[in-house]
Amino acid sequence: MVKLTMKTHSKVIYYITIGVLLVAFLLPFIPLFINSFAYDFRWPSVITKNATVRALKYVFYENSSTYESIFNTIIIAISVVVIDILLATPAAFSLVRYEFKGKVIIKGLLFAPIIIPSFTAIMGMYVVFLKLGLTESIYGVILAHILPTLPYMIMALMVSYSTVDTALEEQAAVLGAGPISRFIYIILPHILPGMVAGASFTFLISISQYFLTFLVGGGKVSTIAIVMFPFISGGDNAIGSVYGVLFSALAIINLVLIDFILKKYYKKRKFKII
Amino acid sequence: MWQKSRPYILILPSLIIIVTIFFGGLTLGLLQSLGLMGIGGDSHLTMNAYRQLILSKDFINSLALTLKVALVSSVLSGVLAIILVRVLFILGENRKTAIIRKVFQVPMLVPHVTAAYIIMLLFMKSGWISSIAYSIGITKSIEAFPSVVNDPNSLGIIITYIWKETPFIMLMVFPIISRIQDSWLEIAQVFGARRQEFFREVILPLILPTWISSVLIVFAFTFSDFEVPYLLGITYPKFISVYSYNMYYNGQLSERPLALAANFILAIITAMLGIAAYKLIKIRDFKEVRW
Amino acid sequence: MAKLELRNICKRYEAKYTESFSLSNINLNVEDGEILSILGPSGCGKTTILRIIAGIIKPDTGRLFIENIDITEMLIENRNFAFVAQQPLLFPNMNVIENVAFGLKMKGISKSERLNSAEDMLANLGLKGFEKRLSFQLSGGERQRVAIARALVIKPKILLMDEPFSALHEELRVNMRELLYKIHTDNKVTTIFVTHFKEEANYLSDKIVNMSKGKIDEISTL
Repeated sequence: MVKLTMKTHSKVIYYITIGVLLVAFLLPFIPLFINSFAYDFRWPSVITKNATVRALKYVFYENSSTYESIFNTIIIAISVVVIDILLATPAAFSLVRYEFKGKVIIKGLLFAPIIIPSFTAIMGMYVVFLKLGLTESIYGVILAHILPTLPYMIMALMVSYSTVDTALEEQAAVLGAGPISRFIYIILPHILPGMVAGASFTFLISISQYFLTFLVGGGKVSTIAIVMFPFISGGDNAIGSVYGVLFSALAIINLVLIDFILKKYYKKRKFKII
Repeated sequence: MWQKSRPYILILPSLIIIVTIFFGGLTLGLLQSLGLMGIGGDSHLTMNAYRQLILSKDFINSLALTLKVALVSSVLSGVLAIILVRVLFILGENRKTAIIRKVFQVPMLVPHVTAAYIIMLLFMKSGWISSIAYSIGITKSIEAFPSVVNDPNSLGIIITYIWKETPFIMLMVFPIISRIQDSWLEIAQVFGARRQEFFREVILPLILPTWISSVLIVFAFTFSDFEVPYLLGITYPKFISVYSYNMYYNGQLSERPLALAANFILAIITAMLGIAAYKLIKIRDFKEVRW
Repeated sequence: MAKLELRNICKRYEAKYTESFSLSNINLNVEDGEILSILGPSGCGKTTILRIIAGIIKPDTGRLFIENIDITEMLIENRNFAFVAQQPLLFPNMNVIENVAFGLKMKGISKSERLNSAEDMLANLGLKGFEKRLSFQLSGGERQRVAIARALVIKPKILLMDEPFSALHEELRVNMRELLYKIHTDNKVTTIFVTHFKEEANYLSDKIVNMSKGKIDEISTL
């Protein structure tokens, strides 16, 4: 079999294209970084001449709400992840394993928040939240964050469940394992990657929320997005940039952590059905 | 009996949360927009809010702008995604392209608020690119730099969406390409097809349904997004989401039903787009079973 | 009293992409301690019978009796049978000894006791020293032996084997059947052995059931 190879010069064109677009995609990060360290980084400076940690100082030392907002953001995100896992694990199992009446409609209902923006529901729900005391409370925010995240967790788990080999479950049953034992010893270890993927995505979505947090929390519940806002809608660019970098750092840490956990998991248990 | 209802019981917790809060919220919003549940105790069923909206110039202009921007953003993202995916495919599968592919996914990590801000830092009149332009001599002053953010053409918003959503569409399309490539590429090459031709003849038609449905999803998202237009948009016309927000929080109580009516219209439009996207994905699944 | 009795078992399958399949009027008695082989070509229904006995499939009509007790409705996990399939089906998230001890764990036996029993059984099957290995570190024959150890250690009422050696090469198959015969001589567990190899059936069995197309053709005692 003769594999046709491309002539070198035409490949170069493609590399250049990719290169240009790559730069375009990464470009936006540059001013963000520079700005964080900038002293008077104003037009028309292309590169700052005076590096300063003024903005960093402000964000991390002087502004007490920074730490509170970081704390809140993480607490909220983790709570949402935990609740989503508890809700989605049985739901995804049912959707993969069983056929039942109304399944299509139920699926539609569960996945609707992916496409219909959650704020439409939250704005309608506001009066009820008010009556229940959930507004301006972290609990209300957590509840609100469940809406855009739960469908993704369900999806991630569904993918994992669909790869479980039922022959293994049958074997466990013959050896005396009831439904709960089968879930704990056979199924759960298998769906862990899906759970981790769903958790990672959920975390990302939750920390990124501004509008939802603002609608429910009313500015009293401060997350990184909330604290960042006044600085970016026409305020101090340097400070805004630091928050921006903080945000990106959080997201990247989340991703790296997930990658690491998954790698360890796959190394430990070579998942071949043998 | 326990056995029969098991599937429903497992779904119940998730379903309860979503139905009560999400659909409950939508329903309450609908009811409020229809004049019921009036705050001042004054409730009767009326289509007043909707009538006012449709007659309102502000609303119509908002709707038009939002639709236009969503359309442009989603289509351009889709096109850029295809271009990138094609170039990456032609360059082949190796360590380098794998890394490049991962790098293009980076914008997905950044929340939309931050993305909007980043674009602003780049493109505003006193922004970085303007500084570069001035330094090189392309522009002569701050004013000479074109209006890209907070401009009537919503360029800044469109750029932000393209930056954020192109990786998403690429992500949706990648798995299909790798499956096709594993199965059919070598055979096609034996028959004399170069990668470019293989892409055009085999891959493109097969990823079309998924591509369209991803573009629809991006359309639905950009159409209803709040944060980006809030930061980068102009005061008039506002995007539908900002329009509704403004009306709810800065308007009078009597205007609330209008805001919620706008929300309901938003919800209906995105729901229909979702159903269309879903139907398209099902076509792809059906096609795959065939081959 | 027969240890296991199948009375008028019938099962019909409507398969989507292949032909429909029908198991009709299966009547079978298995005596305590005997090895019974079910011999027949692929697709004749022998695997289905085994899965019905294990409780994985429910028959359309007919009853199942263990020591005269009707177990047709009983759940899989309560039957105390054991099943060795063509694929070893070792649990990938456990090592060899955890796999073997699994059935004992389900019975609530203490950790030290079950690990001891598992170790002994592994030694019986020539796998001493393999305890901590993971399934991908074993050869085909070794994996099947672990699967057999896992099945035997729980002292099942009935041992069900579905073409357990068919995936192995010929020399290994002969070794395995000799090993099985020796083990059976030691602990006399009632065994139902499904195969399409005549020599295997002849070597191992006390009784052979010949099947084709969902029906029993002949039962011969050796």
